[in-house]
Order: sequence, then structure tokens, then C-alpha cells
Amino acid sequence: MSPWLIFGICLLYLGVLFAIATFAERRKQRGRSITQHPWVYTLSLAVYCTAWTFYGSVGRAASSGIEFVTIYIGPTLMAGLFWPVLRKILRISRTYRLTSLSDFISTRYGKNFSIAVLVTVCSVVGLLPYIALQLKSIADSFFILSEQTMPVERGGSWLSIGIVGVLITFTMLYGARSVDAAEKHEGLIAAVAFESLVKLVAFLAVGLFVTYGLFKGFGDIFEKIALLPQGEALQQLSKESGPSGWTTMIVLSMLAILLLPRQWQVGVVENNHPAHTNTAMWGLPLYLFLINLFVLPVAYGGMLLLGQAAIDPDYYVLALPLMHGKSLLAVCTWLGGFAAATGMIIVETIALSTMLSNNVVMPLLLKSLQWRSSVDESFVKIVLWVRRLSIVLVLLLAWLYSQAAVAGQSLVSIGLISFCAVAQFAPALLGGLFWKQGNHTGAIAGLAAGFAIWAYTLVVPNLFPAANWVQSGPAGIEWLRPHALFFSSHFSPITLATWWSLFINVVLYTVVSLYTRPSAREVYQAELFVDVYRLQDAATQGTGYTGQVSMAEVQALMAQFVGQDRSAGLLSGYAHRHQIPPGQLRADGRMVTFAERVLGGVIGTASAHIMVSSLTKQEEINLEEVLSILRENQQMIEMNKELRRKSQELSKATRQLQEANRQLKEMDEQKDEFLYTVTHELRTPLTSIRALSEIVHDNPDLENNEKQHYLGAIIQETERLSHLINQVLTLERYESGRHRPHMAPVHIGQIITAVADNMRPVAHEKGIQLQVHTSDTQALVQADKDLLTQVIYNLLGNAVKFARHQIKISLIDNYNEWQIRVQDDGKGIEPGLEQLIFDKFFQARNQTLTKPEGSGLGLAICKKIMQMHGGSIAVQSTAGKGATFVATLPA
Amino acid sequence: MQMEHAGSPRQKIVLLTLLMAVLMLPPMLQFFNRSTTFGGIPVLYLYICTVWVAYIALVGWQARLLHHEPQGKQHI
Repeated sequence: MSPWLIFGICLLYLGVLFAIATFAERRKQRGRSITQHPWVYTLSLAVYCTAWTFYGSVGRAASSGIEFVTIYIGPTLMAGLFWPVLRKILRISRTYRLTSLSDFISTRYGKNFSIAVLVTVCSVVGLLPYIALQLKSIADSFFILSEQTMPVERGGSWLSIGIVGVLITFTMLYGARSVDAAEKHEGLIAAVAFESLVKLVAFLAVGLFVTYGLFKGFGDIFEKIALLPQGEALQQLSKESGPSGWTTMIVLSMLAILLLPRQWQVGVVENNHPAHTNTAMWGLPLYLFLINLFVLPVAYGGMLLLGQAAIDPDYYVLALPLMHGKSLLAVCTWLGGFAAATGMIIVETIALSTMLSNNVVMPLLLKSLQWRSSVDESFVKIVLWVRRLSIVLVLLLAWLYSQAAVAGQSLVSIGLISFCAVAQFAPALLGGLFWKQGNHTGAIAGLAAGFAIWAYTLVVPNLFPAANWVQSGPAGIEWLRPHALFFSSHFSPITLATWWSLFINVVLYTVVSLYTRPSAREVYQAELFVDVYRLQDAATQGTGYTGQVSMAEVQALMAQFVGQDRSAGLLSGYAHRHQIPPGQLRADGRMVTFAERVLGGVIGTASAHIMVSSLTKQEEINLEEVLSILRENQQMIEMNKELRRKSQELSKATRQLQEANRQLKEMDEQKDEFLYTVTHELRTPLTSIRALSEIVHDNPDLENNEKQHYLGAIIQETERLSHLINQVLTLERYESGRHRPHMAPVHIGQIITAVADNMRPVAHEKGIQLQVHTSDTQALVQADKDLLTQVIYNLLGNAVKFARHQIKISLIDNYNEWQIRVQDDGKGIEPGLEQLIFDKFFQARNQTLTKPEGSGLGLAICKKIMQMHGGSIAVQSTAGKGATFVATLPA
Repeated sequence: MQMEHAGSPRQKIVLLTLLMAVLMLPPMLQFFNRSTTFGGIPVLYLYICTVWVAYIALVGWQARLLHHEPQGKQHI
């Protein structure tokens, strides 16, 4: 294919990109944004997939099988942690208008200037090779597509410098429009989301073509590759990097999805709404899964069909359609790769240039210019140009690097080196998010050491591969060799570098943090970050601000960096939102903190802080005071909670007391009633004894047998009386718990038989037949023999009173309990009274019932005894057809 | 910091993520690290794809519930 045609297509594509970006910016100005959608956010996060994914994964798969997926499993895992991690970062960044990773880390550690510079330098140094790699992939793929076997070096140079030119233009136009870096770049995001779509569609297209066009589906390719000599090894985990390599890459890519400057830019700075992360949580993993689905088939297809040709496996994606004459598909694929590369370059460049200009260039410039507090509108232009020049600088450096160093290295290895570089930010960032004690001394120590190890183990050997001290260690010390640091020669360089650098980084960060004292400002910032959900209001209130500065001065300062109109607009808008009365001469504390945050978006938080405090002529706002206010707040909340807890406990106790009181009253009433009934019951026999005695007393001339009769009646009544008193005493003894049953194994069947034998004469006298059914007379039960005997006597006695012809007593083994059933054929129990008959003196209190017999305490005693044995007693009855009493004992 | 009631979607997603991490680490993978194929496709590849898709589906399902959580209290 003609190079000019491809170049034309390339320009056409870039034209489309410009059009989309312009369209998005226009829509935004009209207030109808197209990028405020969760899927646009998700697609923009997919800027993670670069030319490395597009070309490099296939190359990697061709050499070590499925191992490439680790780079996508890591982000999948981090996406699941978006809520605890990313949401918190988002909240902090939005509240304090932080514009980059270096801004974030520097603000957390007391708006420290040196840490911002350190992070920026590490990012730029760590990522230049990665950007260079993208440029290289654009040029290489261009020459493969134009079928000019291996480009002439100069040809590659002019092509890539041309593309760099276009990219610089695009990035300047859409990435550095406004001086305020906290402002959203909607055009840019629209373009990046579009590019993510293009690369996904392109890769799926070529994947389908290879899998189903050139082969007969997945199974076909995998079966054919298994026949190759290296096929068996490719279907399993790579032996070369082993389990440690696998794990390392998952950890690295997990951190990269958060910490790469471009990911920070799209994920944090450009985020429109925190809720968009809810979709990204599964949307991003889905994207990563789809774009990787066909990597193995394409890689293996390439090996099978192009294995003999001298083609870099990285470019199988492109070579396969080309070889089969599918020019259109090849161009589409190439555009996909181009989109992947340009998307990454643009966003990464913006992120790095923001860091460079805000955190390094502007602070230095301000210092050297002897900044004066005079209104000078030209400063806005200076800021913009610094930003633009940073973009040019980053891209040109990357281009130079791509010309000099990248040749001969695979896409993946360079990418991993950059991943390892940004992973060094993890301890300072994550520690800063969740651990208040982490301080800037610890962060700098960890970061510097980790980065040094990174450079020593991964960069140095690439720059001086043949140097003597690299081969045999500095001064001949073997264990200091870069690729065998600390005796770990059997690990791959990436694994070794990652673990040693991160390990030393974490150790230094934590240990140094614990043994050094942070400044008051740092403690304050740590509180604000770690407790952002609770303190965000307090933080923006300007609490503790005591300086004296006029409104005009604040506005003048802002105007210098964001322009007269914009600063006036921002300030009045803020005053309106927070109901600060206009026309005040002295600036409100909130206004000053707001101005500092806006300036932070332009010149970095560290220098913004210096500017504002020089203006307010107050070296430090009184942080000790602020801290104590924050803590008092905290204490108040704690005390409130404590109070609420106590009052809840109190009302619970009151409820319990009321309940106890109610029960006591009830029991008191029962006692009264019981006493009343007992005296009533005692009076009945007493009355008849008295009447009978009077008869005998008043009639001395009674005949002897008649006298005998009356005296017999008196004795009977006296017996009844003493029986009643005995019953009352017994029941009282049981109920008060003074009588404890003497539990022992007893033959329940024998007891029944014995009692029945005793009762049989009484029954016979009344013409009642008594039947005994004890299925197992040997059954042993834990019970008090005397008490149990009493229950059976009472039940049989009752039955004899009511039965007409027949009584049946039986013992039934009912699984885990024994039932003593006493059945009679008497008049039965009226429905509804089955429960009440077990109450004390039930008969006595219901005089309407037919003829009370006995004390009225028998069944109550039975019930009590059964309860003492852990059993129960109940009655089943049909009125007129007799009743069955069932006493149940646990076996 | 406000305590969440047990079993909120956020906690379930974090739990799913931990599970996914365990399933994707070498000690688990070694069970499938063999030359057996299923319909011509190596079991290792099938295993990784299946777990991945299942994870995406489950997180997606839970993430939909997140939208219905009260937005006012965004405590972690």
C-alpha cells in the first residue's frame, strides 16, 4: 500500500478526532455536554490499553502463552476496589481542586514543594520510555502496512516527527485551553473515548477474521498450536517467569491503573461525577476482557501462518490481514493501533505537562521573577505558555528517546519498566489516604529509595548492558549486580526490581514516618485527607484563618493568574454560593482558602500556598488552633454518641422496671385471690363441723346410732379439712421451690401398676372397670418416685370420681418422651376450659359448674409436679364422651 | 465514620474482588495448569475466561444496586 495513501488516511483520522473534540467543546459551551455519561468515563479509562495492548500482548502471547492477561487482571481487581480507594481520592481532589498525582501527594504531605518535584521527576523519567514506545509502534506499524521492509532510519524519523507535530497541536489545543488545570477538558475526553471505541472494534474485527476466517474457531487454532514443538508449553503457565512473575505483574498492573499519570488524569481530574465509577467498576473489566479475548488466537494464528517469515510477533495483528490481501481490514487494524497509541500519548502528555508546569516550572519561575503583588495580566499568558512548552518538551524528549534507545526492545518490557516506576508512588499515596501518621520525611525517603532501586535494576542495565560493573557487580560485589540484587538472581528482572523497590519503599516510608515529627500543617492536611468525608466542610470554611487582607488584594492576586474577568466571576460565584455578604473590604477566611485552591490549579498547591500566605502577611495560619478545633469537634461527636447510648440504656432499664412492677402487681392480686379462696374453702367444712357439733351438743337425748352418724360426719369433715390444709401446704412448698424433687431412675410402669392395684377396690365399689396398659414396665425414667405416685393417684382419683363404667390408664413411648394417659368415660370437660382446670381452686371459683368435688388443688399440684420434672400435663376432651389426661415426662 | 449495615453492595463487591484475586493467583491456577483440553481449548484458558466473565457479571449486578443507595451519606 502506498505510504502516501496511508499518511492521508492517518491525517483524515486525526481530522475526525479534531472534529469530535471541537464538537464536544461546543456542546459544553452550550451547556449540553456529551461527556457527562458513565460510559464515556469508562471508555476514557480504557486509555489504559495502549499500543502495548494492541500489538504487544500478541507478541507476548506468542512467546509465553496466557501470561499477558495478568496486565488486565490487575486493573480488573483494582476496579473492584474503586469504592474504598478511587471514591475517596475523587472526593479529596474535588474538595481541594487538586490537578495531578504530584499535587495530590504534595498537598497530603503539608503542601511540600520538594515532594511535588520528586514525584514529577519520577513520573517524567519513568514514563518517557513508555511514550517513546508508542511513537515507535506508530512508525513501525506504518512501515509494515506500507510493506516497506524495515524502514530506513531517516524515513522513520520524518514520519514520527510529523506525527509528533500533529499530536503537539492537538494536545495544546484541547489540553491547555485554560490556565486552570482543574477545569475539565471535555473535547479531549470525547476524543479519547472515541479512540477507545476504535481500538476495541478494530481488534475484535481482526480477531474474528483470524479465528473464524483463517481458522475454524478457537478449538481449531488451539489444537493446531499444540502440535508445534513449543505448543505444549504455550498452553500452560510460563515456566520462565513462574508464579512470582505472574503475581508481580498482577500487583504492578493493579497499581498502574490508579497511578499512571494518564489514568489519574482521566480517572480523577476529568471525572464529572463520582457515581460514574459505579459503572466503570464492571465496565472497565468488561472492556479489558473483550479486547483480550482474541489475543491468543491471533498470536497462535500468526505463529502458525507467519512463523517462518521474519516478522516481529508484536505485529502479527497487522501482518495477518495484509498477507491475506485484506487491505481494508489491515487499515482498520492499523487505525486501531494508531488510536491506542495516540490516545495514550495525548493524555499522558497532558498529565505530565501539568505536573511539570504546576509543580516545577511555575514555582521556580515565580521565585526567580521576584513576584510582586502588582496587577499584571500578562501572567495568564505566561502560565499558558509554560503549560504549552511543557507539552512540547515532554513530546520532544519522548521522540528523542524513541530515536535513541527503544530499538530492539519489545513493547511489553518497556511498558513494565514504566509500571514499576509509578508503583513507587503507591506507599506514599495509599498510606496518605488511610494512615494519618505517614509524613513527608517518610514519603520522600521511601519514594527516593524505591525509585533509586528501580533505576539501578531496570534502567542502568539497559543503558550500559556491557559495562563491567553491571556484569560482575560494583567493585566486584556479586550480590550488588543489578540483575541479581540481594542474591535474587533466579527471579526475572521485573520481579526482582518490583519486590525490592516496593519492599524498601514501604519499610522506609513507615519506619521513617514513625520516628520523625511532622509539622503542624502536615498533621492538619493528614486529618483533612484521611477524614475527608467528615471534615470537608470544616476544611473549606477557612477555619483558623486570622490574617488581615483586603478583598481587592485577593482579587488582584487571582486576576494575575486566571485573568481579571474570570477571577471576578469565580469569587462572586463563590460568595453567592456560600452566602458571604458582598462589598466587604476585608476578605473572609473562606474567600482566602478558595482563592488558594483556585491558584493551586494554576501554579500548584505548594506555590499557591506560598503566594497566599505572603499576601496575608501571616507565615502560618494558626494550625495548632485549627487542629484543636477539629479535635474538639471530634470529641463533641463522641460525647454526643455516648450520651445517646446512655439515654437509650436508661429508657431500656425503665421499661424493664415497669414490666417487673406489672408482674409484681399481678402476683399480688393472685395471692389475694388465693388467700380468699383458701379461707372460703376452709370455712365450708368448718361450718358443717360446727353445725353437726351443735346438733350433738344441743340434743343430749339423741339416740346412740344417730349420735354415731353425726360424729362420723364430723370426723369426715375434719379429714377433709386437714386434707385441704395438707394440699395447700404441699402446693406452697412446691411453688416456693423449697421442695426439691429427689430424682432417681424409677420404673414408671411399676408405679402405675401399683397405684392402679390400690385404686381398683374403690373403682369396683362404684362399678367401674379399671384397665392398665403399660407397654414396657421396665421403662426407667429420671423422676421423684413419691411425687410421680401422687400425680397418678390424683389423676386416677379424678377419673374414679367422673367415670361411668370404665377407666383406662396407659403408658406410651412417644419417641423422646413418656406419656401417662388416663382416660375416663365421664361427662368430659366443657370446651374452652381445658387450660383453666389446672388453675388453683378452679372448681371453687366456678360455682356454676356441676358439683365441686375435692379440694380443687389436685390438678394444680399435678401440673406443678410435672413442671418440676421438666414435663407437662394437658387434657383432651369431648364434652359428654369423657376426658383423657396426658402427663408427659421427658425420657 | 458511620458503620454500614452488613452485606451492602459495596462490601459484597470488595469481597468478590478478594475472591477473584485468590482465584487468579498461581496456587489456584495450578489446578488447571495441565495439557488437558475441552473442545480443543486448553482448560487454563477456559478457567481464566470463565472466572473473569463471572466476576464482571456479579460486580455489574451489585454495582447496579449501588445507584439505589442513599447518595447523601458517602461514608466508607
